[in-house]
Amino acid sequence: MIHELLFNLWNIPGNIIDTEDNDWTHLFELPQFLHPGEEELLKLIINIGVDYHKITLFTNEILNQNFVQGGSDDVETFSSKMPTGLYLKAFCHGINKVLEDYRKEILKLEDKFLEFPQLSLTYVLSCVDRYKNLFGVLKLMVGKINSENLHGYLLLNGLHKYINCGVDQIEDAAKIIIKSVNTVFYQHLCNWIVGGDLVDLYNEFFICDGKVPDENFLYPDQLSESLVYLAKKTKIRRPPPVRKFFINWDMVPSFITEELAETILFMGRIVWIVRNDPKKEKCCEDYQIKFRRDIWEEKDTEYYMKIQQLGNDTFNGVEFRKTIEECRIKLTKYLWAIMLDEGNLIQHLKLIRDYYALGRGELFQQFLTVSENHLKEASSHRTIQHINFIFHETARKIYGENDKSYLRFEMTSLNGADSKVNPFQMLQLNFEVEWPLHIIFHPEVMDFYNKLFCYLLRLKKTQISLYQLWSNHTLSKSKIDRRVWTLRQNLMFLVNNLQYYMQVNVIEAQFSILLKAVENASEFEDIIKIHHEFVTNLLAKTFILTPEESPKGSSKHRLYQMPALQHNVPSKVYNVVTKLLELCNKFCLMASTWETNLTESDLEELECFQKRSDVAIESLLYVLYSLHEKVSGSHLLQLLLHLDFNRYFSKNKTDMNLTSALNTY
Amino acid sequence: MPCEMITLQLGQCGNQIGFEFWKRLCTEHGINPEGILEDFATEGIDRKDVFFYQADDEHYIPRAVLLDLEPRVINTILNSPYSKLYNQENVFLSKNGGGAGNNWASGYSQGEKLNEEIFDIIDREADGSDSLEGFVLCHSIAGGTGSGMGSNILEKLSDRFPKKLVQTYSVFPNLDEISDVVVQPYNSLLTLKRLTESADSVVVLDNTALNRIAADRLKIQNPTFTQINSLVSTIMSVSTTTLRYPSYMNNDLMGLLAPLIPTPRLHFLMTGYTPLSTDTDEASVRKTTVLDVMRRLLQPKNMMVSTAQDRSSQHCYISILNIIQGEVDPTQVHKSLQRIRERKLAQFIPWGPASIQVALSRKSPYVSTAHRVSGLMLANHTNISSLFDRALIQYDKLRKREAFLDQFRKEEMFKDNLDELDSSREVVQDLVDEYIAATKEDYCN
Repeated sequence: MIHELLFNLWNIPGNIIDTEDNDWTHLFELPQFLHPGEEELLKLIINIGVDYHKITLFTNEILNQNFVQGGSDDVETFSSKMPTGLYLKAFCHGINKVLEDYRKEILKLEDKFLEFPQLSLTYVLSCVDRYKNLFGVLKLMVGKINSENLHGYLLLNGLHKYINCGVDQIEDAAKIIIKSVNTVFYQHLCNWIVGGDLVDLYNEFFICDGKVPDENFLYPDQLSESLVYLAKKTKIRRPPPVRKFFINWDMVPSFITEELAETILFMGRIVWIVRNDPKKEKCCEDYQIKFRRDIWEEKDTEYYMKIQQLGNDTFNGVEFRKTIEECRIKLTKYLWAIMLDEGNLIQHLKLIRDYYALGRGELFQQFLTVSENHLKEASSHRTIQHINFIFHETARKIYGENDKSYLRFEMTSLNGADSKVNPFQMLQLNFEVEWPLHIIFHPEVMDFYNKLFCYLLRLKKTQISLYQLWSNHTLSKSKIDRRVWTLRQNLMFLVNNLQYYMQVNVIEAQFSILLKAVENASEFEDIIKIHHEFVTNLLAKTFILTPEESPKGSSKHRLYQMPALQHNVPSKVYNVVTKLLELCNKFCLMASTWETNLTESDLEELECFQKRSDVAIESLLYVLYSLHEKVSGSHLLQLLLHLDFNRYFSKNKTDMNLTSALNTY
Repeated sequence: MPCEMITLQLGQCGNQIGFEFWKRLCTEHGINPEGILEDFATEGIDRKDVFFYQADDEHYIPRAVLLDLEPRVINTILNSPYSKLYNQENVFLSKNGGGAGNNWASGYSQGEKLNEEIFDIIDREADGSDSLEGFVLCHSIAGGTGSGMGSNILEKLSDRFPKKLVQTYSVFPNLDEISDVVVQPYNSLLTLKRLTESADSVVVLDNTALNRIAADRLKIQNPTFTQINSLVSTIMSVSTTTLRYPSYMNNDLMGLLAPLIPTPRLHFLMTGYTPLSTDTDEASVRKTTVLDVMRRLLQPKNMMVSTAQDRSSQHCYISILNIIQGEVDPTQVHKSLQRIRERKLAQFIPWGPASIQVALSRKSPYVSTAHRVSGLMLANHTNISSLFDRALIQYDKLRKREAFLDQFRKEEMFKDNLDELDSSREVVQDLVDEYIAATKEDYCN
């Protein structure tokens, strides 16, 4: 009987699954002489055995899935009901390891039994009884896994509490299982951090592969396949797509904080981007592995080991953080270096200053002058091609063979089909952003630059119109009515000083801060931060957009970040300035038709323009003055200082204490 | 290449300062005396084509026309290492070679006769440019050729090229020394009329001030022509830097002049430059800051125009443009402007808004300077009228005595009467009056 009992403790008896815990008697042909006490004993022993079998039934099922993978249909439907995955397998391996002890115990018992056939049930019980608690815990876990369909690292979330439960046996078991599962987890983590790879058939890792390009790094013309966009397909080479990876927050192990998880996501994404350098791929397709860019600089195994080693410990938060940080620094410094050296970050920033911020005034001045003459006769639907032709032709004439940076830029217009709107109000630039700078200069950021570009171009165009009016007046050599030229000169003064303020006080000043900061930076994330500050200041101080009132404290280590600006919320100054520009344009148009001697209706118009410009100037000064008191706006005072340099405007304004404001800031 | 400028250099003085100007431009753009781009300068994105064009063999050739009625100065140029730089077809020497005898009337009438030949050259040069913006004329107002022929060309230019701007660099005579040109006051006045009516902008280079600056600031007791002309070439080259280098503002002559010259006739500009040093004077280098430079530019002693200090009148700036070169932190510029405004270091017109415009400009990488920051001021100041006032006084003195008028009567223009002199006096007097009016608050009413 005892042998039979031992056999049952070892092997799976009959249809155990269907068996109720209490109804075990059919397993044995119970001898009639059995004492009720013995029966109780037997029951206790068998219960442990049944627990064991239930556990192993579960583990075996999981572990044997390997062989049935891709088998017949019903196997698949069966396995889909069951939790699957490498973590579960590792978990089961861990349990198996824990159960090894028990199996040895049974073997020992059998030996003993063969030696002493009269072995008592109490002896057997005493031997197996100490597994009772353990099996109970294990059974609980298995039950939980089954009922909650747990997989991935979540399997371990419940285990950590057992490490400090006070029962050595359970603690040891928990450690063994954790270690077993850790092997898989750290394998994933290593592959991700060191290689930027995700081999995750069962979607168990907390980072997921979207398998599509990240739309945050795609330009509108790349996003949409529709015909509307096909018509105005850009000629500019777009940066390579960035694979979308994201965090499955349900699968994040409990010991990894939100920020740490973001950091880990960020690191793998960097590695992926560096490994997928389009330049390297092109030149050596076959030898890609061999010549692949080595982000770890031959120390990949070292870092791999370092991360893997973390798995030996059940969990050490400090050590984990430290190692991840160490890897992050390595990565971010590498990325920083290639951004500077290969991405030519400085050169890139200078191009942005030259083109988006109209640093190359000569180019845009000439472009605007030439295109204005040409566009009068150009038909609308080819306008943008025509504009581009003029843009490139002008640049070629000015820069010749020595500088071809203009070829990396292309004009485009926001209002595709609507030909009624002046295309110059909506002109934007497409810029060929090169790998790996496309991570910082992503479409959303370029959109901000385009807002600046559009605005500065309008300002420039108005300025040119005023200059041309001056030129007509001057070259005519005839006497111009004083009122006309004073108004012309006052408007020109405002526009010139606005331009000066934008170009020198804002753009040049911010740009020199940016360059200095880039020199002092040492990590990739620094560049993002510095650059976003630059963009934010640029758009806020030129009044194009309003900065976010309380910038969200988003994670520092993220691939995709946004400058702290409120979309589509221009400042009050912006509206006043655009009105002023419109007024100037209308005045130039009208005044160019006036003869030397003004007619009655000319005079009426002139008077109207004078009034409107007085209002515009008044409101500009008022907005600047009143805003500076509310917002911290020394930049508003900078503009005021230029406008009121000879105290002409403030002379008769007692309600504004400009002089003291300007003297004290 | 858009926005080209054609330089016309006339007479002894015009050709001398023109020569220095081209020498300087060549150095700044890395072009050697033979017009070939130096190896170190092949990568630049400076806008050489504004003032030069490239010949078929890649040589850079100045868009310059050299005109004179006597061969001395032009021969010096043609015997210098720079002889191959110029287009030989653009060098025009009068065949009789006798010069204008320091007589405006002779220069003017010779210019009239040679008109077709001269404008053949100018037309050809203009046709060779993509979109010509204007002309730069270098001359002196006191002699015969530069003033007389210069006046004639100025009149013709606005007829022939009504859409092109004409800027002159006009050298005014040194009043501290007794001139050997006795009819200088006549010459000056007659030229001033053309400068007022036919030029769009005149950069006044006052020999009186230039000599004083050489003596006081540079400690050269008897400055040579070359030393004075090197001052002039500095002014000329720096005032064109925003046209010759990529820049976010003042990209063409129109953009440079429009803010400076609100009303057509008040287009006479003063210049100032700091810090000044000669080739031999490297030791006197001081630490220069933007504020230093901008403050010194406002001091009369640094101006290249000697203006009388008249305390009774309220002379003031109509406009100022400072071109600052060197390592400049833009925030320093703002602080300097703030300081200047606070301390009222510059007096501006009361009838309209005005300010100091600052253009931060690039500097040639091929010319090393000892100074960290340097600055040029282009200013429209009402006090320039004192210069014209002096010209009027000198003229009146001479005219009262009817002195030296015979030389003028020999020429067609003055054969019957001296109306031209009277009308010129009137124009210049009007100009002075308008400058005085511009100091008043009611100027625009």
